[in-house]
Amino acid sequence: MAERDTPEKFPENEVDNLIADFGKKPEPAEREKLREMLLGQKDKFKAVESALEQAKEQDQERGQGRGR
Amino acid sequence: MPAPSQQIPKASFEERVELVTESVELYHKYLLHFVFSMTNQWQDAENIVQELWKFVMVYFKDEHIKHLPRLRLKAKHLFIDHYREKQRKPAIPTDQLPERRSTKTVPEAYTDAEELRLKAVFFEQYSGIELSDAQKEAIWLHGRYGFTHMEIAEKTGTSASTIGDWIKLGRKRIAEYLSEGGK
Repeated sequence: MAERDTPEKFPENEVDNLIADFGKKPEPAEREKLREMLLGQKDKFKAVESALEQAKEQDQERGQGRGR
Repeated sequence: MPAPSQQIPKASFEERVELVTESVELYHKYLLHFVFSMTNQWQDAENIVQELWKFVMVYFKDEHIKHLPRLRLKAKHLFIDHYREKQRKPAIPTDQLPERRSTKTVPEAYTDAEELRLKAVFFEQYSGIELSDAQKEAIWLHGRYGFTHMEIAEKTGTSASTIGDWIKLGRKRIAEYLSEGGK
């Protein structure tokens, strides 16, 4: 699973809502809950990070192999 | 000779937590209302936005964490996945009025000084957009507090039709800026 590119155009009629809600922080309890949830993603983040590193190393090895 | 390392600078986990937290503070409420406009149900909207932040934390590139169009698009994808997974349609209650957006009607406990600061922060984000201070004021008064064109005209001494043009122009420029990769 990866981040999909090419976001669609931001609709003009959403700009008012964006302004209306801008900077309105979640309630303290909700913020705390969200932050804990983010911190809870550490293992998953590390796993994805190391998988990406591994894939990159393999790519580099293959690239060097072709050059010889 | 080995190729020079092409490592992209990447934030540590802790730095990403801070980046995502900043994005949460800027856009959580907006995204919650955006998802609610599709679900008509707060509980589902909250679950979907929580999934969104988890996804952002793990998979988004650092430079995309505060990129609103990407956040919005991912929220939409998660909404589609959520209902596809549950094989049901968004709730549309028939025996009662649906829950309504509350952004325009519920006053936040912000002081005037905080509101001024938020307005400055908002337009700092769009510093590449050409808008005069009077135009920004009109857009802010309309979007933030829901004043009509006529009310803004009375407050500012500009004609209502000009205010209408400015608001239209502001929406267009902000939307274009966001669509073209503004963060």
